[in-house]
Amino acid sequence: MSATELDDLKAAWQMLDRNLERQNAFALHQFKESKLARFRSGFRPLIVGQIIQLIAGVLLAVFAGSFWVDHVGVPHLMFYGISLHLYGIMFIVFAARDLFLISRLDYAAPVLTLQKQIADLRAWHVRAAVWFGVAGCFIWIPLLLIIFYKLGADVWARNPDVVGWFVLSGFVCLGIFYGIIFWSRRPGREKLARNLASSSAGRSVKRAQAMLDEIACFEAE
Amino acid sequence: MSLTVDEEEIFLRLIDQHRGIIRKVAAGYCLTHADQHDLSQEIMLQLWKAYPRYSPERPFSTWMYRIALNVAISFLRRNTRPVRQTIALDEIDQELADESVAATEPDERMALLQRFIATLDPLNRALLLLYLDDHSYRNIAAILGITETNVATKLSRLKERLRQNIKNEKN
Repeated sequence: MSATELDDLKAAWQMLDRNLERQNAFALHQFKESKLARFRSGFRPLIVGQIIQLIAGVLLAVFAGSFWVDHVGVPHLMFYGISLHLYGIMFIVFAARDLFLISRLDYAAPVLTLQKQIADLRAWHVRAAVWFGVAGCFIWIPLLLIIFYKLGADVWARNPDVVGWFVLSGFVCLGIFYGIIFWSRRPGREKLARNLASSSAGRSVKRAQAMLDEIACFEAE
Repeated sequence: MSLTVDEEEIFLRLIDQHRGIIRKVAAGYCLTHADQHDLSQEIMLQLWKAYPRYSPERPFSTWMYRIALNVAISFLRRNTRPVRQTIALDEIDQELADESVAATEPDERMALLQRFIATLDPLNRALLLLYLDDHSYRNIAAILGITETNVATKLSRLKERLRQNIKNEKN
């Protein structure tokens, strides 16, 4: 391509800008007129979501912590409380890390720096979702048992087999999930594997990885 | 951190002076007017949020370009399926036909350029937009966070792709 052709394209681009200036009702008008307050609150929902998670984690940790402290010496009740306590701490740690990563995002940073930070945040979200998913298969058990206990029924003391069935259900839940993934990878089930890969979790993993790959490729060339 | 009335005035004046940056970035990353408008709003929001940390020793346009491109790339990633970061040419033609941009003064070069931009990944799109806006290699490197040598190499490849694209269209 000759220099003149490139200059022509640049000129065309400048012309596009002039056309857009004439035709677009530019956002600045809205900004100037009365939307400042709305603009200021634009990011609140994201932060509020993380803060709610943080508060939920603290409440859960305090509730479960006080439960097992009140039942020191009763191993199964302590176990329920400690399990939930750890889950609450997991909530706090994950929300705090999210808030930290979000607060670190600086949109005025060089493009590649920020895009890497966003890709890291996304990859972290995906990993966190897997951890919460695995824990979620089991955490309902101590929660349910504590609720029963508070209602006056110590399930483990009265009928330990029920607890065994609960735990088995947790493993079945986990097993079904991983089983479907394993089964879908066998020959002849490519369509199912494709559908699973494009499910929200699979898609998130792919997107996070694609972003990191794209940035690495752009940097390396 | 909130701005004083004077700071708000200065901010709005600076944005007004450089409003072309927002328009060009929005046009480079979105095809429809509705999307361009949404993206412009998001860019404005981030500019507003980041302004208290802006240091006047740095050129305002460089700072603004970084923010606008960062927001645009995130916007594009959020609104595009991973397997489809490029767009079919006939789809772009349809959009251009629908848009008044093309209707005011049909310009084949501009249509060609927009079609080419729409086929690029978000980072190369940023590179091309900065090139089209006549930024120096040094400035492009500062905005994108890569070396000047890397800018030169990439631009040379992009120009080659553009040349090939024009050749294919002519055929």
